[in-house]
Amino acid sequence: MLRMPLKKQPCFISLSAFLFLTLLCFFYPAIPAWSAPQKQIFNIGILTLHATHQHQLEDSPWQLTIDRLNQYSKYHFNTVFLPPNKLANALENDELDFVITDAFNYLILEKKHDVLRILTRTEQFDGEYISSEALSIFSLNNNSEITRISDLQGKRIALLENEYSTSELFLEKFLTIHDLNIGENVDLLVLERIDLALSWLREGKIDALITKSGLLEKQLDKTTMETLRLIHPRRGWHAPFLHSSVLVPEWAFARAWFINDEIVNQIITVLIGHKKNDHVNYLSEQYHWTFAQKYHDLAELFALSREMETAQSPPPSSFSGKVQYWLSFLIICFLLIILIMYLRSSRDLNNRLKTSKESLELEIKERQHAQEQALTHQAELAHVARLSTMGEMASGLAHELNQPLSAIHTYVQGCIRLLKMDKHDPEAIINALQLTAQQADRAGGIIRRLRSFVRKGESHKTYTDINHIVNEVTGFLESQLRNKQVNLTLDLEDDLPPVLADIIQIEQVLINLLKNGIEAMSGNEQPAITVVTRRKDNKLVELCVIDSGHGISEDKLKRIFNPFFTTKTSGMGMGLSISSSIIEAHDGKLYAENNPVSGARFCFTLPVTEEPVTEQPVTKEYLGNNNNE
Amino acid sequence: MSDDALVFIVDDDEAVRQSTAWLIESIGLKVQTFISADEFLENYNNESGCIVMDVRMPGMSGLEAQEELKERGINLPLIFITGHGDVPMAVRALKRGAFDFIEKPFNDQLLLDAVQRGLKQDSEARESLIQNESIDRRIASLTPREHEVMLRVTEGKPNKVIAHELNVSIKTVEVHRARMMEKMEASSVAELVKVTIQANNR
Repeated sequence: MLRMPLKKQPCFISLSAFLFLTLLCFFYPAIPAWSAPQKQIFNIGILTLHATHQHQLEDSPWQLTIDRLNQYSKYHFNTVFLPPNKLANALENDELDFVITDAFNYLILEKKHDVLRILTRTEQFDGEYISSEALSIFSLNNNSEITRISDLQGKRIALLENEYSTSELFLEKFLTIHDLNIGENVDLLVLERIDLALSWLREGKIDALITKSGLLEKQLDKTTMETLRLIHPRRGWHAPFLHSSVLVPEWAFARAWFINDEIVNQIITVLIGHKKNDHVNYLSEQYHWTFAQKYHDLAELFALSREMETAQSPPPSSFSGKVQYWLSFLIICFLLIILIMYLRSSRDLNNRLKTSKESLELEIKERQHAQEQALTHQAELAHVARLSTMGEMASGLAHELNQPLSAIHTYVQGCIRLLKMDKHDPEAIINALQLTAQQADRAGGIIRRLRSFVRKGESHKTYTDINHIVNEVTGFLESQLRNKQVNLTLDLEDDLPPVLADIIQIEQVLINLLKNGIEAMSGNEQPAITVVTRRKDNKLVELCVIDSGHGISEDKLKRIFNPFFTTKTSGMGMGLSISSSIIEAHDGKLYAENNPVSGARFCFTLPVTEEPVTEQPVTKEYLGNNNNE
Repeated sequence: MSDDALVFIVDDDEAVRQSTAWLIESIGLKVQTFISADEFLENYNNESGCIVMDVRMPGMSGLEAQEELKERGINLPLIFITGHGDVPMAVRALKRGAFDFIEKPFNDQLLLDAVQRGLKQDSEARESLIQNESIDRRIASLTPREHEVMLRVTEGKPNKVIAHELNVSIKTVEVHRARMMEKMEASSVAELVKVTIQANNR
């Protein structure tokens, strides 16, 4: 009992080893250093706001981060400093595995390049780490001209920027929502040194100073700070400093779309986790990393900040209040007058509508009446044409009727002969009489069909399958086709939706088209006709009669549907004209064109009608049995 | 008329084909039916009999079939049936050697008579054909000299004249003449003349 599994084991081991190796090859790029002698290398793109600067990792705030990653992870990380556009390009070309970028640029990159934040930078303030940043605007304490942000219009501002402070995009948006456009109604210059900025502020070379919030507080002593005034001060609940703008999340450490979770996990562990033999003061450094923050509120925050600004603006004076009161009163009066005028005019309009509705109803009735009359005329005309068609087909019909009659005649005479003989077999006579009855039925069927075809009557539409009409008509014309030795092909699409049609009239059209086709091919070596039915765009059913005759010349093609136009020696020239009017009365279209090779095709379309579920296609009822052959 | 004689009915209309077959079978004749002339031509194997054929058919028409039969040397009596009393067509068919022409719906006696006559003609034709073949075979067995002698004998020339004309002795002529009479299976000159006239008439 135990042997079986033991026997199988080597096989199982080799199979699993094979699977493991396969997986190993497949995931090779994601497998950490132990699988290869060299460390896997990743590129980190770091946003820089100074396109022209040659950045060094050394002495930058990112140095510790990168050092720590290279020291504690299984991978090697290279860094490259790039301005926003080049950062985006590099991501586009999949040249970067990670990016370190500010909140605004992060949102853009996330949308366009599928990067995903894994960490957010935090900055230390008095031992506390803050993962948000904001902008602060300072003016001199004794400058009474600038008390609100909107006072900065037409002023010169300096942006104090150490190398890796906040984004220009942030600054630009912040100013824009206060109607300050750099270069238009406010001058902006960038200064890097705090002492220079302060002396310029004091000398009046600049009117205000914008910095990343908390920067000055960290660098300057209390007395110097007291000479400065923070404009539009506000305090976020989790920020230990006052600031002028809203708080936005700090810079993000984000991964490119193709970086897998294992690498990300290791980076998070290395950058957030605490190591025993930690680098000197990693945790006490100014910058640190924390779990990724929400960045998506940024856009909303900016929409809100404008409202907050207006809410904090000083209340209107009593004078402007009175003006506003009267203004509102006047506006309301004006609106009331307009409303009254509108009501009056709408009453007039209603009256006029009523009269025109009545006249329209009358007109519709008249039109309906006219339409009914036109339909009656059309039906009468169609009837006359049917009679004429039948006249033309009389010889063919006579032949068709003659077949069963001849068979009947033969059987009956034979029976008489047998009965006259002394010795006769009743079985043979019964058999012959049965066959006789069948042939009488067949003849009756032909007569019935003929009668229904020439029957005069109002147009009566029923839901019907166009293929059924094709089969009926081709059965009807069988002897004609046979006599002219025409090869008939039926190419009928299955499961066609029903059309609402007067069956006799549509049969009339089809007979007409087939007869024309047969006549067009007289003298041909191998006359052939194809009848095609097709569904078209789900809304139409199309039927085409394609002959192999000599086609129709261009000038005749235009006139072919005109009444009294004919190319034949006999005939009134009404067939196609009436057919066309029949199809039009069915909301369809009849048209003719030449085939690419030879002959012509006549096609008509009929609209598909939704059939009520209960009604069955009515076709058998008036046509009787189809007994020929 | 032999018992093996068949009536071949060729009509594309099943009812007409079957009723005609039924009628002819009712007088004890053997019938074979075909849906088209093509089918008949494919299956015909020199049986004796006669053909009853519809003039109007899809594919090969009756008149076309008549041509084709002639081309293939099939000399069966051909009785045409048609639904249309088409006189010019009837005339054309008869001129080309059709045996008879009957209009549909036909009187059964007319058709049966025509069939009977047709069968009789065929059997006679076949009999005379067999006879002709035997005469031909006899004539073919003659040597050229015997043939020359036979021609002169039937012209009523005596042996002496024949010997002179052929530039041989009377004795030789007598030998040739005896052998010729023997080969021609003729017991007298009168009989020989009768056989040769029959051969010449063809």
